[in-house]
Amino acid sequence: MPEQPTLRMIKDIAAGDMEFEKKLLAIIRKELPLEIALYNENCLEKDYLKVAGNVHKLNHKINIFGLKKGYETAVLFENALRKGNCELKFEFDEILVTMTDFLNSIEAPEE
Amino acid sequence: MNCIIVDDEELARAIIVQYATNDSNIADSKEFSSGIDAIKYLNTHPKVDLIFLDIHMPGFDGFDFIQTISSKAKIILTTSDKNFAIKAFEYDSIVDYLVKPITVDRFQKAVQKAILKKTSEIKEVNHSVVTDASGIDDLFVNVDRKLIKIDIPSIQVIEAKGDYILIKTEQKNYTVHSTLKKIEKRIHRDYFIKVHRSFIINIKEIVDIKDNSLLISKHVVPISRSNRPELMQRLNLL
Repeated sequence: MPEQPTLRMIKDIAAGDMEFEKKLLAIIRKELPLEIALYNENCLEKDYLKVAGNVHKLNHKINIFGLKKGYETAVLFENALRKGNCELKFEFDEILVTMTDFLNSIEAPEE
Repeated sequence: MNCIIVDDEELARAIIVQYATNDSNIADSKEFSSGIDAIKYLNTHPKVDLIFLDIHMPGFDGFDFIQTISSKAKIILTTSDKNFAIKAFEYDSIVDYLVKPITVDRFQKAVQKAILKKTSEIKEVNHSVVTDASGIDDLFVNVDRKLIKIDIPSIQVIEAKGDYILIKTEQKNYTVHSTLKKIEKRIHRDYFIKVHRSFIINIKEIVDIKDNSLLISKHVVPISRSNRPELMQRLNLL
């Protein structure tokens, strides 16, 4: 079974401040699709250095969701991309799908 | 302490802003999504004590930022890289680095490090003012067997001339048997800077800079290649 995201880290950071916890989730809901879109765009362009930068940026959110193996894959992928190798793309894309599905499965904050 | 947060990721900024707001050591915090905007802010707000700086920003990264700013603020680097190389500590201004996601405990430790570093620097400055008298505004020089008082901030240029130095003020010039090295220890470091092996100038009196020379009042002073970077760093550049 693939590694599953959790909200533990977000709850630790918010330290019981529910408003702040909602705010963090709202930012992730807004920012994650934009970061993924930029990553896909640069993948299509085959601009591997830019893709490596996008992967690096996404790493924060992978960590926030407690995806330890995902983080390791992302680091390997980023380093490989800097050498012009994108063989780990499939594995990395799976992590992005897992995070997106997880975000969609949890209740959206009230406006 | 006043701090700024520089990171192109909103999530990272939001976490630091929250921690800073809850930290009694931090009075004010401002956030910037680009290094360029932060530099513009620093140029007009010299009282920033602490900078939380993301290393990996597109275009203009954290190390570009550090090399560009003239602020004396302490810097805490932030990174998503757990194996971050310690290139950071090549810079005196960097006191710590935090791996994202940043925990509150680690944040507080980093802030304490910045406070300790700042406090120890203030103590060093106070000590040097007492011991080398560079905080005094008057300088007595021996001219024709008379001790003449010169108001230090009125000095525009000091030029080495063999065994003598020529002190040029707005009203008068004085030729004194001394060396640039000796007078350097007796004047405010905030006002003066060596721009050439034979010239010390009052940085507040610069009219303009062109190529390898600068104009102070009616004096044209050469700038050496080795002294130019420090001069540029001390200027409030737009």
